[in-house]
Order: sequence, then structure tokens, then C-alpha cells
Amino acid sequence: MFQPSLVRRLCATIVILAASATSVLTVRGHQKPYAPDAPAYRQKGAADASIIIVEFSDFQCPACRYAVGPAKNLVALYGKDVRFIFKHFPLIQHPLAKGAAIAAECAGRQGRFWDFHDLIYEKQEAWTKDTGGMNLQDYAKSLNLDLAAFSACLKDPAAAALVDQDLKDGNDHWILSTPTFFINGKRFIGSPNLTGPGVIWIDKILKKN
Amino acid sequence: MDRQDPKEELILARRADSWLGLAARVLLGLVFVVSGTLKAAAPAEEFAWVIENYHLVASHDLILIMATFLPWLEVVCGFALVFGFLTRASAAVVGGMALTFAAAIIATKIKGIKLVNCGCFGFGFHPSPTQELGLNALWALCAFQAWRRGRERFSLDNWCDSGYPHG
Repeated sequence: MFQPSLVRRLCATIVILAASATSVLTVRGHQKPYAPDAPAYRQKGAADASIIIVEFSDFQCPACRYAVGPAKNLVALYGKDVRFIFKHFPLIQHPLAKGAAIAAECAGRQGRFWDFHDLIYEKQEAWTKDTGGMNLQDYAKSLNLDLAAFSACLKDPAAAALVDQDLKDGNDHWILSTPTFFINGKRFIGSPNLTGPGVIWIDKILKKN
Repeated sequence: MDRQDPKEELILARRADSWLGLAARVLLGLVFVVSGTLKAAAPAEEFAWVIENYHLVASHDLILIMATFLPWLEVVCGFALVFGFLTRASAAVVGGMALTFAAAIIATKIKGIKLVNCGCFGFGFHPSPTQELGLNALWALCAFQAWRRGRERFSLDNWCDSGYPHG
């Protein structure tokens, strides 16, 4: 029959593999499904589009700024086949990002989310270097927003709650970097992956349909 | 003044060396279990993105394969070290990984690539490249000590060979 040392080696191998699988699966168990929806003002494209792109982004993140153009081009390229959804994911290391996200929500309440989104990404280098705090009111003013409503909204816990909900969705879905895109559920991190493997993935889905 | 018997001194030194081997083995094992688990549990694309930022591997598919399997290798070798199973082989693999990570960080420094996240611990702890170089040197030293003396105390290797994990 088997030698005792061989049996012990087999047992030891099983212990090591079981410990490895248990530790990874236990940590992985904390991953929860996320809600890919967002308020209507943070969505663009056809409601019945077969491709749904969800972006988790941070207004203070330079890589997110570089992704704005490619993402826009992608939406323009695929037209009615694509619906684009923006979700906030202000990173801890970016102290101004959450404030900017709340301000964008407030612009969204006035129907100008995408204009505000484009503007603060365009001016990112200016407001992120402003040690006195970014002047969101100036940006709101330049977009002709109702400043009284905008200021009131900045203090409204409901606007912050929307950002927090997105942050929770992102954390539940193990987002570690921004921008992270989900194209029909498949993850692509950074604009090079969106425009490279992401486009190949979109073409594959469209071919199937 | 009394002098200790040289033979006894040698025994004491050897005993201390083997305890140090145990400490190095368990410490290194736990570090690799934690770092590997955090990466293996997260979606592979997250670690793939980190590998991409090193600009050392060109193929996207190969990067994804690496991002899927490397963390599992870390976890398995980490547990093998903690339990002292295939100690010398595990220490060699982990030491090799530490040196490879260090070489990758040096390569990015030479190329002038600014790493936001070295990717070493998945998420939560992002040491700077310099700190990470120091840590990898420490892990390589631990791996060497674990390779030398790691299997002598409380190891499954001993249990497999003799039926008792000598303390």
C-alpha cells in the first residue's frame, strides 16, 4: 500500500490548497452586485441600446480627464447602440473630488450635468491646484446655472447621498482604480483599455446581436 | 572567567539560527498570503492594470493570464511557507518573486515611469517604489533564511518525513 510519508504529503498538499482557496473565497465573498443605474441626467444614449457602458470616475483624477475624449468618441461612433452611464467614485487620496461630484450632481438637477462634467475636467489643473478651495460657484455661474438653487443644493444631504451611493456601489464591485468602465458588465480600466480591448468587446457583442 | 564550551556555543548558535529560520518562514508566508489573497480575490483586470503600468509586458492577453495566476501562486507559496511544506522550493519561488518585483520597480525607475500603485498589496496599502524596494530586499533575505533553516522547526516537511513536526 501507500507509504506513510506519501500519505502525509498528500494530506499536507490538501491542507495548503484548501487554506489558499478558503482565504481567497472568503475575501471574494465581500464582493456584492452593484446597481448600474444612475439619475437620468447622468445617462446619455438610447434607452434600449444593446451596449451599456458604465463609467466610475473621479473629477480630480488626471487619468479620468484623459478618458473624457475617448469615451465621447466611442459614444459618437456607436450612436444608438450605446447608452453611457456616469457614476461617481471620488478616491480617498483626492480630497476635492467628492465636493466636485456633489457640485456636478447639483448641476445635474438643473439639467446641466454633462456641461459641468466637461467644464470641471477641462479646468481640472486649475481647481485642483487652488489651495484656497475650488470656486465651484464660478463654474456654475459660467454655465448660467441658478446660483441660489446651486448653493442650496451643495448643502443638501440628498446630493451627497447620491455620491455616497455610487461610492458604495463601486466599493461593492471592487473598484480600485479610476476610470473603470463596465461594458455590458465586463471591466475595462483606463482609457487605453476602453478604446482597445473595449472596442473589440463592443464589436463582438454587436456581431452576436 | 568562565568560558562556554565551544561545542555548546555552536549548538546554541545553530538553535538560534533555526528559530530565525522559523520566524523568517512564517513572516514571509503571512506577507505573501495577505498580498496574494487581496489580489486574487479582486477582479483580475485590477491587477492587470497595475502590471500594464510597468510597461514590461506588451501582450494584453499575457498580462491578464499573469494577473490571474500570479496572486494564486503567492497565496499557495505563502501558505506552504506558513505551514513549512516544500519549504525550500516555496522559499525559492517567493524569493525569486521578490527579486523579480524589485527588478521591475528598478526598471520603471530607469525608464522614468511614475508608478501610482506598485500593486504589491492589491488595495489599501500602497508603499512608494523606494519603500517597496526595501521591502522586497527584506523579503528576499527572509526567503534565504527560510530556505536555509526554515524546515527545521514546526514544519509539515518534518511531519511528512518523520511523522512529527519537531519544535
